[in-house]
Amino acid sequence: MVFTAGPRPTGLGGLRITASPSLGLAVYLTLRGTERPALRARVGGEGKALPLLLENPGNVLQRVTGEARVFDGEGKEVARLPIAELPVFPGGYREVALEPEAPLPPGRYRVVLILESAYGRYAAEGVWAVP
Amino acid sequence: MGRALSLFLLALLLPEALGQSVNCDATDLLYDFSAPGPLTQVTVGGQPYYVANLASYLLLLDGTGPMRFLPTAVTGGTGYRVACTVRTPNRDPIRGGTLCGAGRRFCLRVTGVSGSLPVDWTSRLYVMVQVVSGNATSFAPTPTLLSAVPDNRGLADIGRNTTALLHIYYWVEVSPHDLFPTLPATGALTLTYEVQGD
Repeated sequence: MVFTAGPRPTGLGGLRITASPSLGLAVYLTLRGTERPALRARVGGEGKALPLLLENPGNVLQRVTGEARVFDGEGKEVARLPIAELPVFPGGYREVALEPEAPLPPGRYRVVLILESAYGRYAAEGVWAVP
Repeated sequence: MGRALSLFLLALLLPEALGQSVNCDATDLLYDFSAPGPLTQVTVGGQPYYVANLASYLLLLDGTGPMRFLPTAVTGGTGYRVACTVRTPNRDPIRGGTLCGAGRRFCLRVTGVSGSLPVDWTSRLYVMVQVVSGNATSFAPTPTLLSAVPDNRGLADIGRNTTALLHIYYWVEVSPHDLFPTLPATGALTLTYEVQGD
């Protein structure tokens, strides 16, 4: 939807111009039977915060919550990073960094990401290098 | 469409007196909703919270409800909180609070709040106190409105002859429906801490 106001004359540095302000609002409609939910997640990378990339190649809004479980080299769970609700629009993506309450010791960790939305559960795995 | 909305929290520590003191590693907390940087969630007390910056403000506008934000920057400190060391003298307090500092204990209290924010701090500024070490009890163990912390903002009570380490977290709550008539919207609050018991 685009809302457009009438032309407004204005001055700019001695130049007289007329502008029409417009405001666009994206509205996502989901038609029953046409839903194609999908979610791609890439978890891992390097840094004191865990990088996470969520992509939504489907055609419905995904509002995901979940957690990342972090395991050390011996397979012991050393942290759980909860994820607050995050909307990912159809065709869009979100990049988010997850910081633990206390910094983890330097090292390489295996991360299991578990996400949930109204359309199902998703899981991904990756490696996180903490410098 | 980012809004230049920034808030400062400043802390004042009253000078050491009669063997009691408060020393904090950070005194300035900045909430800058025009700051660059990635969308960042930090786990505090087992719950995820967003750090205030432009990315999280845009996320707020994508939603429908209010969100609580951790500071963008904590000057002088580490992480997203203030670490305070409180020392109490080796004697009984002369007077204490009705709850915080009751009996033979001392109270770390926010005795003064001055200044203003673009939003009403009494309904938007949350505090949580974690006792890291020492004989102390938090009266805000979960995020609590500072204005609603019991016994006149008594954050924690501390036994006599104690050195306690406290972690103090502050959140500012912002709603996607908040209107800021003039931009950039800025404000500053100054909080005064005091160990009471004398």
